[in-house]
Amino acid sequence: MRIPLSWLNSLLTPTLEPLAIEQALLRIGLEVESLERVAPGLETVVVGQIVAITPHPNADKLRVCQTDLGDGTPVQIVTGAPNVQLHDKIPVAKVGSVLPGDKRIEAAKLRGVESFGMYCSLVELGLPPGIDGVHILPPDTPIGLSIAQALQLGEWVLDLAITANRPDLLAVEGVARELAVATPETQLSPVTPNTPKFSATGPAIRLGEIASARCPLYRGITLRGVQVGPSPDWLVQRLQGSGLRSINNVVDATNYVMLLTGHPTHAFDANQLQGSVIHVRPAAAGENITTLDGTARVLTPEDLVVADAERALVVAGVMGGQAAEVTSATTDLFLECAYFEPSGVRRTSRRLNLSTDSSYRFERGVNPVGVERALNLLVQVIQELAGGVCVGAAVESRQTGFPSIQPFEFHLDAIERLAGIGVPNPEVERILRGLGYTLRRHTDGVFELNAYDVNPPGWRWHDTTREVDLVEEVIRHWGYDKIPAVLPPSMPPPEQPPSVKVERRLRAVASALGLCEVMTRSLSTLEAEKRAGLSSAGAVTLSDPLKDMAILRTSLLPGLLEVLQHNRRQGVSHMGIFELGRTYTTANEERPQEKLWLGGAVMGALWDGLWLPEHTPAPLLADFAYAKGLLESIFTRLEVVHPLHFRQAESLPGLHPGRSAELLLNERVVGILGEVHPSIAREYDLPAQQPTSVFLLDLDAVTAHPAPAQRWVAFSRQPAMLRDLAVLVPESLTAAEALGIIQASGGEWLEHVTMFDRFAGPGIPSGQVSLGFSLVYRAADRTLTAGELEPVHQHIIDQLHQHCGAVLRT
Amino acid sequence: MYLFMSLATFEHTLQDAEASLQQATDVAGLEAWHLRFFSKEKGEIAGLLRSIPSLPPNERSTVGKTIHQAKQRLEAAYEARKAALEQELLEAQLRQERIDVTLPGRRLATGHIHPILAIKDELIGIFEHYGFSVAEGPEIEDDWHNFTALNTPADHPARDAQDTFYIPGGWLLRTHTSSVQIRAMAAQKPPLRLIMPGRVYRRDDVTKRHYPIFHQLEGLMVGPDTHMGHLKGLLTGMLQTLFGRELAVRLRPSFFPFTEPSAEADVQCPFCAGRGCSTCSQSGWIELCGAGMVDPNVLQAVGYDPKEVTGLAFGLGIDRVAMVRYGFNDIRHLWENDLRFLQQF
Repeated sequence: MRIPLSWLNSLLTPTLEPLAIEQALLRIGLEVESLERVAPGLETVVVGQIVAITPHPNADKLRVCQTDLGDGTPVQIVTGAPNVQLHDKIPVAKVGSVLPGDKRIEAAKLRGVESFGMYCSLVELGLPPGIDGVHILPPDTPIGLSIAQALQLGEWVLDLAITANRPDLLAVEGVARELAVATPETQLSPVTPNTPKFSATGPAIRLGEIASARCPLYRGITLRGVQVGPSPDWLVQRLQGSGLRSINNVVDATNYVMLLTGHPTHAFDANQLQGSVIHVRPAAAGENITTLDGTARVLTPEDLVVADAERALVVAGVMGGQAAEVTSATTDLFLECAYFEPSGVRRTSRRLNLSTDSSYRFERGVNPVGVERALNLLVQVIQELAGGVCVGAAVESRQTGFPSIQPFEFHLDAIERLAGIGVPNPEVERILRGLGYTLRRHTDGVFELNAYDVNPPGWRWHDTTREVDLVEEVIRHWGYDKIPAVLPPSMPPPEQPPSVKVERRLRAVASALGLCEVMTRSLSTLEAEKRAGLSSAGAVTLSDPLKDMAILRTSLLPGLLEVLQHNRRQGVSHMGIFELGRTYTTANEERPQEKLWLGGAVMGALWDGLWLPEHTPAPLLADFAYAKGLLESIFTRLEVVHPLHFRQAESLPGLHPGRSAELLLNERVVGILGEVHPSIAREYDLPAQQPTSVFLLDLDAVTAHPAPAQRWVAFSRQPAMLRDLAVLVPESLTAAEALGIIQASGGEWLEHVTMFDRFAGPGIPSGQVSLGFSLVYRAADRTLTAGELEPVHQHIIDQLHQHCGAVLRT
Repeated sequence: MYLFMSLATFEHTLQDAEASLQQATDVAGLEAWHLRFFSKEKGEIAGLLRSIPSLPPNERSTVGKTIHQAKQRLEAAYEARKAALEQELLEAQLRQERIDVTLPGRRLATGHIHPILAIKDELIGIFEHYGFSVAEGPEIEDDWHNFTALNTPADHPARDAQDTFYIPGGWLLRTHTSSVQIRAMAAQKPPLRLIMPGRVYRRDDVTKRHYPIFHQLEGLMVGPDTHMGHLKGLLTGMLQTLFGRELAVRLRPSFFPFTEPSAEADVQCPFCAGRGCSTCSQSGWIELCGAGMVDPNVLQAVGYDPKEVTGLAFGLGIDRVAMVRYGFNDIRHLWENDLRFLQQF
């Protein structure tokens, strides 16, 4: 909502300064988008700074300048002005400007060099000339500032962002009313239209069928003998300042009334009507209308139209049609002011994708009590500008009992209850009366009580219907800044849901392991998932996708791979990342399912590219075991009652068929782990010679099995006995099987076993592999002797031999 | 060997031992010396001791004592010499092992936590101290929880402000975490204090300031004596912890269908202390969150009695808080996952 301050001030006594207006509006909750000077025609002229000057290759008198307009990218402008120098700040007319004298600024080539704008002299800005040449602004002028602001031209215009509940503020007088209450020294000087004189007799336009459910109030006046012509300057300026174009005095009058009062009105050329009856009816299915914007539109019975005997003239509350448009030839008018039911206007406006100043106001609800006044004001303004006499009498259709504005009770203790502060009675009364409420204070017959019967004004009848709404009205003007900051009474910290604890723990552990947390988009596309080898089965699709956002992701995998790709392009060779994020899948008719996952990815080689001493083994690769180790380290800290098992898998999407596993928890698959399939790795430009590995773990499944509260576990202080064991086993034996046999046969003294070597090659018979294990033996209560340990260790060797034919290597 | 040994003989041997000890310049020479004189079988000192019985009885004890004293002296000299030689050797080795200390260290990667999620966890911790527990809800919502129960019926113009992603089958992506309020209140009785962090969606184009996916932290406190002063107190306390110093909070009247009275909460710009800078567009204040007292219609929709309880609610933009806290102004950094960004946190 744009309002020239001069118009606003015309309703206030005494008038207010721009800064005072801005501060008052801010205080009472009207959001000021901008408050600045606007000079018509100079909106696209801004302050620029010359950041580079080079000679023109083909012309001695021209120079090529790069100009910073404050929006990041300097603009090239060729100038013939001899007086500008590097770093000067000058007025720049951007491409598209139309300067006084109808001078159009377009992108052009000047002697073969492109130029996007023009440096302006004062004369070119329509101002009295100063020094010759381009006007040089003071060096402290902010770059990008509008020239109107910089040179204090034009007039102050306020731009307000009006919330959906305040259609009354889509009116200059509504804003003035708020200001008058917000600044107690200021009085509102309301516009009071005269009652029209119906001095002409003769046929007036009558009302026919009115669909009163959707149009509960419709009022019209016929005006004869007007002279359509241009509007006077004061009106043109007010409309321009408000962002509207001047058309002619009649159309401008309707817009003027709308801007002032918030009531959209409409003027028909009465002589263009078929017959002399106006109907407000649902459109026929497929009914056509060409609206004032020149668009032919097809309507449905959902839409309401204002029509004559033959055809639709107006899409009710949205936009007029060309059929009975007011033109310079018009002499007789039918003037309309109505209350159209908000949701119907909104539906039509949405369906036609046509939002107008009119529909915007109707769909938020205009003041049903103000219709007559607005129409009277329209008549008065048109008569002042274009003459004419009212014919017959006003016609009106009103649904019985409309509007039904209900009084309600307001107990002042509600203010303290909700806002934590009390407001004195006189202030409450001053504020509410100033805003248009009528109040009647309760008494018990002797004393006045702290309660009122309240009637809201017509312009708030949708919005303030309850005590709580008045609490806001009062404290908004009393001052939100007077509300004290107090902490609620303290309470012990609550128990958090398991997911919160798990997420906290995961972040701590994963980052301690050197992984970097990433956050990828939960919206994706089928193509993006297909790139990672996923089928996107059960993907949730959006009805109205955006670019790159058409489905909800079914896996964290594509996002993780994209992060690796992005950083690899930036020259990163080794990285480890993790993400905690949801995936989404459809579930027949049920609510789609959301699942929380831990995802991880590692790429490259640890210490790759760093200097290493001679004889250092090769850098550690981000292979399966590396990723598995990370996952195991993380998992051990998650406090889950069951261990995590790994089952060889051969066809996991996106993964190497020989180097991937399913994760099992309590015999359920809860995730995957593996090296990225080489062809998928190529797709994401990942290293060809080194593996990239990923894992995904279903955290909902993890939090479903919490371990009991953690207790410490006692450990022995006796010395340990260490034994290494190297055996030849068949190649097909898995490490898990071998370790299982050792653990099962080690007895109570075997504290720990780790596998430290796996080797096949020279010296090892084909079909076999050498496995090396480190065993730690320890008794709880005494020092073990070599003698007593020997049979235990031998038993393990025997068991290995018996179960899988293992042969001790010597 | 020494059948007729004279005093002069063993004096000569001892002098020889002392002199040759000084000539041993390395560990090998020293060990050869030690073998020559101190070997139990063949050592010269052992030989001297073995010859004692052949001496006249009256000389035996004198000679024996002298030899033992000399033996002890030589052993001590040997040990000292050995220690000195070993020390020299070690020093030589250490000189050899000298490195260039300016060679780069081999760093292990330190992990990083994404700033949005770090701040989310921090906020959870802050509100935990005020007695708030976390509630979560689905991102795929139904119309009732996201709009209708929040006093925003179909055709309400306030729906315009929240461009919504719809999903066939009557679902939508929640446009705010306020939908979790409804679920939480329907599930438990007042009094309650809850925060509801999570992802929300608006069908917006990607720009410096907007991303179609962002993060909110909804706060809700319902009880018999809850009022707007508590809202101000909680936000002030939260900011003090988050920014490590006191920053003023300003409530401005505003409108949300699901709160009445409604407010926008601004925080004093932490970069210019309210004087005005480019971060706060010269205003001295930065918009922090929408807030207000839960609308009685919302309380009724979940079966609470607005005469018995009042509630405060706020919806904090976590992304915004992160941007203010760290002073970056392009929201797209949060989603690009460039290590040069992530590793700063």
